[in-house]
Amino acid sequence: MGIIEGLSSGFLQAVSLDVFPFLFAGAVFGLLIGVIPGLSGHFAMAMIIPFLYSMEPAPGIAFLLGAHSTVAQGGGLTAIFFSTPGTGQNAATLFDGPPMRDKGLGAMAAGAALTACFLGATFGAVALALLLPGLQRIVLFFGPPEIFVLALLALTFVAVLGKEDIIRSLIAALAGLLLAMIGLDNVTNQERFTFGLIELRDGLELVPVILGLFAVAEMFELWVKGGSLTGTQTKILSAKETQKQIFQGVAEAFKHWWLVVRCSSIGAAMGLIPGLGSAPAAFVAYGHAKQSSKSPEEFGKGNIEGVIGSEAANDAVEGGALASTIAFGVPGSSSMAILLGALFILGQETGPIMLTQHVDVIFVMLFTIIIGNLIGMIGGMFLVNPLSRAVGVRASILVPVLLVIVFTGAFAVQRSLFDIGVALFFGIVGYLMNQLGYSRAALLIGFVLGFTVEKNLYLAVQLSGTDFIFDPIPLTLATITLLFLAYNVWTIIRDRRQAKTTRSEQQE
Amino acid sequence: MSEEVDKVTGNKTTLELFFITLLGLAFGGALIAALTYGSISAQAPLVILAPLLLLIGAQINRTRKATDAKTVVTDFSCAVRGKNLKFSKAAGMAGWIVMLMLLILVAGHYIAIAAFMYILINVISKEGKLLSAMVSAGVTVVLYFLFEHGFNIEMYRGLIYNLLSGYLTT
Amino acid sequence: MGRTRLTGRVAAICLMSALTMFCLAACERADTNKEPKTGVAAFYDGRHIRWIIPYSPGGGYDEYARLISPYLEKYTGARVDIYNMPGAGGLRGTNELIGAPKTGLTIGSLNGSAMVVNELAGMRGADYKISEFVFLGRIVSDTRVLVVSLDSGYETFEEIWQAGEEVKIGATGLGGSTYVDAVIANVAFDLQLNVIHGFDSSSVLRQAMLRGDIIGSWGSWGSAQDAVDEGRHKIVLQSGVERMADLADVPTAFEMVEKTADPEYTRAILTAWESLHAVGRPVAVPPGTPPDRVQFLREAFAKALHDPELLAKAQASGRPISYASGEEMTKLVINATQLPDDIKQAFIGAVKGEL
Repeated sequence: MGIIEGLSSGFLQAVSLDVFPFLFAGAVFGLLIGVIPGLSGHFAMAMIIPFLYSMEPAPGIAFLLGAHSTVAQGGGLTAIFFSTPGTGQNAATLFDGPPMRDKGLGAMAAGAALTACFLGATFGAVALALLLPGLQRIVLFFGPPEIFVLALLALTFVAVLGKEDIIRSLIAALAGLLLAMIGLDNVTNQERFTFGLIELRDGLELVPVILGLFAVAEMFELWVKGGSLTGTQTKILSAKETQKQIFQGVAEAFKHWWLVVRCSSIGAAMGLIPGLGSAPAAFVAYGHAKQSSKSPEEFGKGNIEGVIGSEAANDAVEGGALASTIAFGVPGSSSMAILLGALFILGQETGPIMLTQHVDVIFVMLFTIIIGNLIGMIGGMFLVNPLSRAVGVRASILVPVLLVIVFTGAFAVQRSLFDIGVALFFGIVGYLMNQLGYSRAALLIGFVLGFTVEKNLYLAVQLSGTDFIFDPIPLTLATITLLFLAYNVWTIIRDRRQAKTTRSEQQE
Repeated sequence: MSEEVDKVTGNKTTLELFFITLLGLAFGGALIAALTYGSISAQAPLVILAPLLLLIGAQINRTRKATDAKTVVTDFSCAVRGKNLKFSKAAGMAGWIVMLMLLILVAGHYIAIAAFMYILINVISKEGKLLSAMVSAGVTVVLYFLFEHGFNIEMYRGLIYNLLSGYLTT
Repeated sequence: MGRTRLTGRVAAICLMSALTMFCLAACERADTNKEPKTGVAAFYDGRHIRWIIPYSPGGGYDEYARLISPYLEKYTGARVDIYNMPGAGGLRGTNELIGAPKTGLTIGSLNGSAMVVNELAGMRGADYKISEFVFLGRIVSDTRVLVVSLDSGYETFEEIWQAGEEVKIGATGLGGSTYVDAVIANVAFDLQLNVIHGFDSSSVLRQAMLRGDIIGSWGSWGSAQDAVDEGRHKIVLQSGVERMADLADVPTAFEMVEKTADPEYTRAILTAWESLHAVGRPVAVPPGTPPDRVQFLREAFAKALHDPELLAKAQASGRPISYASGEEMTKLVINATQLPDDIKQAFIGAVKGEL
């Protein structure tokens, strides 16, 4: 089946009466799941699997991917309005989303986020389609040595994010790395830092940590501060004004289209590589947005570029992960593993056969992602109004309610009481870190990447000996990392020197 | 250098001092633990702990220089005696969450969250009884239907319920 | 927002959502079963059976359970709720099962082979011994295969046998099933292959095979099936005494016995290995469950796993079924856990990575 044939067939199937209702239902479902803190794309897909046994491939795929594609959009909304990331991918939106809400621009942030997500997903899907022929070779380039160096590169973004106070940021990042070491080392079966607890044998679960660090900590903050999430804004926006802001946000996202493209590329590229996960992509994109912005000081205070960058990346990641999953049947993430299982149930085979004989199925997937995101974007806009009103609710009511929802979500991940404790612990840690100026993002990046870094370093050495660093790709990547680091160190020194000279000038 | 510490923490220097010292102790413990692991398992933790402990040491030094013993003692006793409003509120909330966890353990998830919400909204924040009751009940009911029936995820039933149904352990 | 206004709004929202939820729940609960039942069947009629799966949703164990549960519901008259409890490599869910109420309303899937291995090696954390469980039956046994990538240059097992140390095969965690397979095979055939373990999961293994970092790995037949169908990998050896219908061209381990230096020892090891695989994926209830309910469940389970519709569906989704009854399972488990001492030592060494 030729590409053009597959494309048109795929499109027609995606909008057909058999398939579209499922796409729609899936998209709405995913959006709602995304809004609930603690439940992620992986969860949404697992919920849908039982229905697949009696479905045809096309509607089944549409249902599944429709749900998966909109989760990040829902998560972005709660990140902006409640400082609670609905999923791990939305953690980077916390930097500039809530500050915009505090300035009364929450609806604009939401509009921009939803649009950026849609554009990012579309870009990711298109990139996937274009890359399909050459996909095999590209993904095969990335083995343990390459992934190791890439993870290191992502880690150095900590330097960008925490430029203001490098010692504190480094402490946070290193602490995060160490936290990733908790658990059973599967190479030696040595239990590390587990205090003998069986619950820690698999290490800390990511979702409770994120919920604690960002959601619970914000709740502490709000509780102590009192008042409501709208901060200094006492006037609640009317529906009309909210709508105007949403469209302004949408326009902003389109205006910054080049940023969207760049961040989506980062997302898609990082999604292609198995093992990196979706959270780092959003942070790396955010870091890049900050670096390339004309007003980097504004980041963290409510700059819309920060929101656009991170949201564009986090949906594009899934496009990349889908690419490598389809090309080899090798899942890049846990949601992709579920997708593979689902494809199997639906009787679809992945790999070369799919690429040659069932190209239309791939295009059904692509169009599902694009259309699903569009539905999510429009549906999300309807949610903005109620959400922005809910934000006006007093802390005395909102905090207990949100805390309860967060802890319920934390438990639901693994049905574990221990995870609620984890969320609380990191809630306290996150609150303190926030008060004292330690970068929680650095901790999270360290935590997410720590495992990847160690595991791949070990495998790289096992497979190619210690001189793996001199192979072409690792060498190039390592050089880029060093250059990047050097550049950042230089800017830090330069800024300090400037600050010193201005201070001494002021004193004179 | 000390100005930079002030810029971020302001009068929170005492807090930071405690925080960073605690971290140092915790990671020091980690170092000791890591030394007992075999070489393959220990190498990554040790590589991370070395710069981490150095940096923590540097930060402790920095924080120490930005304040003096007298201020630290005053701040500490202030907080402990409940004079520091922010601290009391935060510590209080932490305490309530711990209570929530214990309640979940004993009485089950739904009873615990309903009680938690009611206590915090009505008793602590002094909102009206009707409002508190409705919010607590409402949220609990919604969560119940959403998770139990919608997602088919059973929340923890609590020790009491488990014992009554014949569980041997929790 | 004024107090009364807020109260009013909250009331409205609460009422509406509660009403919606009630309606949804009511729709779900519509019971169509009208026949009166007697005896044990009456006990199970309309009740909820909890099926504990010690792994997360989307994995093989979970899929089997979701495939089978409608049929179990059909033959027991009860509703089956699947309860995922992942963690500690299956330990958490299994601990949950052994401590569950013995009312016959809680059943669980077990990773039989892994449990036997862990028990032999004395791994901590388990509140149980596998022989304590009361078995309802087995869903499928474990057939292990050695998979190599087509680019490796090796076409048959004999070629790999002769190549020896320069050949790298991959495995996941130390003591995990792929690792134990590799090491036991090494011991049985004196292969001396270089086993590189520490890969995160079987998908990472597959990618490494595609890249050429390793030439192959051991794994279960179920997970290797789709890759082979796509023509990327090739199976060179299967465990088992007789060739499976789907693997008619692939020699079994037992066929290779005569070519080894010490056939008797090799046979003994392979037999022990087989007994491990025979345990496979059983479903069990905690000890102390009333015998009449155990009997009822065993019969329902047997009927479900012989239901032609289920078998067709299983075949279509690539999940083979090889049923064994509860009584047979008990014997198989005893077989697997009571090995002769030297073989036991070999297995323990394999699990602990001392080989």
